[in-house]
Amino acid sequence: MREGKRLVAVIIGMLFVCGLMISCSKKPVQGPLMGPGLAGPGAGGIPPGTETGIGSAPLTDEKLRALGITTEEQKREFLRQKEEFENEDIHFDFDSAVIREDAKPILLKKAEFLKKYPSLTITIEGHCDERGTSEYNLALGERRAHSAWQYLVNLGIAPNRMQMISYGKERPIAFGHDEASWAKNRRAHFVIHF
Amino acid sequence: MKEWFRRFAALVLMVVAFAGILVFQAYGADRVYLDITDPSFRKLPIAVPGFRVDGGSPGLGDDLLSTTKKDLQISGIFQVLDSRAFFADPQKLGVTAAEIDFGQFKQGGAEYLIRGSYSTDGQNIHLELRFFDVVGRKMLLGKAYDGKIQDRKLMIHRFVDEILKLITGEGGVFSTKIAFVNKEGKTSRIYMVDFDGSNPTLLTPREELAMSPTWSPDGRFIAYIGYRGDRTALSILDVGSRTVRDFFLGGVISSVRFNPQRDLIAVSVSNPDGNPEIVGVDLQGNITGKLIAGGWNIKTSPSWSPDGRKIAYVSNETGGPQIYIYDVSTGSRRRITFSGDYNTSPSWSPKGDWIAYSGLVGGHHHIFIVNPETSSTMQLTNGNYNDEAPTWSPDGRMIAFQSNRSGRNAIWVMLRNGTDARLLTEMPGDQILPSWSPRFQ
Repeated sequence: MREGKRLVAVIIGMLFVCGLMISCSKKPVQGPLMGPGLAGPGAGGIPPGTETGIGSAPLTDEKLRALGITTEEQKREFLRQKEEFENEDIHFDFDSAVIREDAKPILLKKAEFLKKYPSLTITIEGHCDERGTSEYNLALGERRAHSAWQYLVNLGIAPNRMQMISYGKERPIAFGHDEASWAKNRRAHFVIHF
Repeated sequence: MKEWFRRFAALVLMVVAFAGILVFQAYGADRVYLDITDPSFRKLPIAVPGFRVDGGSPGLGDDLLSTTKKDLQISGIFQVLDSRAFFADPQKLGVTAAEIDFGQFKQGGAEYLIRGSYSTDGQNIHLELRFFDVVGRKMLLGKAYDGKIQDRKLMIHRFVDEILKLITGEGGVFSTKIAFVNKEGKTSRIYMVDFDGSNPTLLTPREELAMSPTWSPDGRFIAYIGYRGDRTALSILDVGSRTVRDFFLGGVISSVRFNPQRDLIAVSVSNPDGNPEIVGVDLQGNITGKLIAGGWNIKTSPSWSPDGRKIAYVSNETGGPQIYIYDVSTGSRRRITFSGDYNTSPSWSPKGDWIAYSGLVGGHHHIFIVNPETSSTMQLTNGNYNDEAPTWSPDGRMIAFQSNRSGRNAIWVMLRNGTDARLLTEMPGDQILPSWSPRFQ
């Protein structure tokens, strides 16, 4: 009888230890995970475009170290800037791919972020409002992505760090049929590869 | 002697009965075909009484009748008269010229008449269809079909197609399909339907975002733009096996169109300067050469002329998008749209006489056709909604297009003169970017 009880105790003990191990290995230690889908302080209340087919793998400690981030302070700073980078779009006039004056300070910030973390690569998405025709908008979206790309290249970012893609008018983030919505949809959106 | 004759007669009857096809063509050699695009064209009134049941299950009659009426209506050539104008009991009404009281139909306003009769035996159907000239009191076309009950609609489609050939000189498009993109939530995939909107079929179940389908001239392939992570591919679907091959062309792809004469696809893809330009790509994904390039502007939406020697395309080199024609052999380019600030989506007609496109007018997009030689235009649609992305039927009689006139985007079909618009796709989601297949033999 005593042996049986000891055996039970051992088993319970093992289960307890296993339980501890499982719960400890479940989450990477990194704090709140801020993927591209969340609106943040820098987003100006605009919910950013999300499901674009580009996956974002979880940000592990190892990846942060590869970016040169070793302290909590650095990590907080990085996450804040990353969120701003991915949530702050630049906008365009109707039927235009010209970089507006209000886009330039935003692009400058993005260039600074990319220079600070030189191993990061990104995709620039070009989008259009609903008023043009579907197929022509695929081409216009590409021109918008390219304009942003060129502007960043001119600020010193290596061209091959930045991919481009166009979604035309297929991925709106605002769904009204008025200029307020249209203006939000005429955008370039920036996604970081992890 | 009598016995011999009897057996011979029986043999002849058997041969006739089993031959399956009876053709009586009554028109002479100098035929004048009807041109439905002529402004003076008016539809031909036709009566289609109920089918006579000669044996087997009577339940198919309504189905056969409605299929026949729908095919006639879709053709754009006939005005199907209300059956209530004709009081005869279809079961008692004759089926041959000798048996029919044409006077009664003439009084009801009919100029043409179709009499159908059928019998079933298990899974099989024997269907006889006869097309009459009411005024001339004679049969113009008669066919007998034997096959499975499930193929009955194909029999009727074929018959109406032959009527069209008789009347207008060219068969219809009963064998064709229309491919398009269906958007449901975040997913945009390629589907196709029959020419009359039936049999919606998902062709690309694994896609998340696919755009701009275009049929190959033999109907075996559909090329489209496939989104692959953060890249776009020229994707080629084998319609029979449903396998897809992807080709990456080193830039962002915004438009693809098959050449109607050979294995070549015009693709609008961005060059390293970021300007979309039009290149040729073969079926192995190799870029064969630049077609329309140069300049700091967009060149997209190529549409080949039927002989494959010219390309209509969109360029914004003068500010807003306009339509141009590029001559492949000479390299010359010529603008052809001069009214309106936003003209896109060109589609060259199968006979080469018109280019359909979408023009912005009064704040909405509508379908126009432009003469490639003279640049004269005709507006085909109007209203407080958007019509885009026209594509021609292979017989050049109809144009399918994308319209949100019913509140959501769907594919509609109209005659080339802008009349008879009908909804093609009745399914959940938004349907856009149609492409009409060639005829399948």
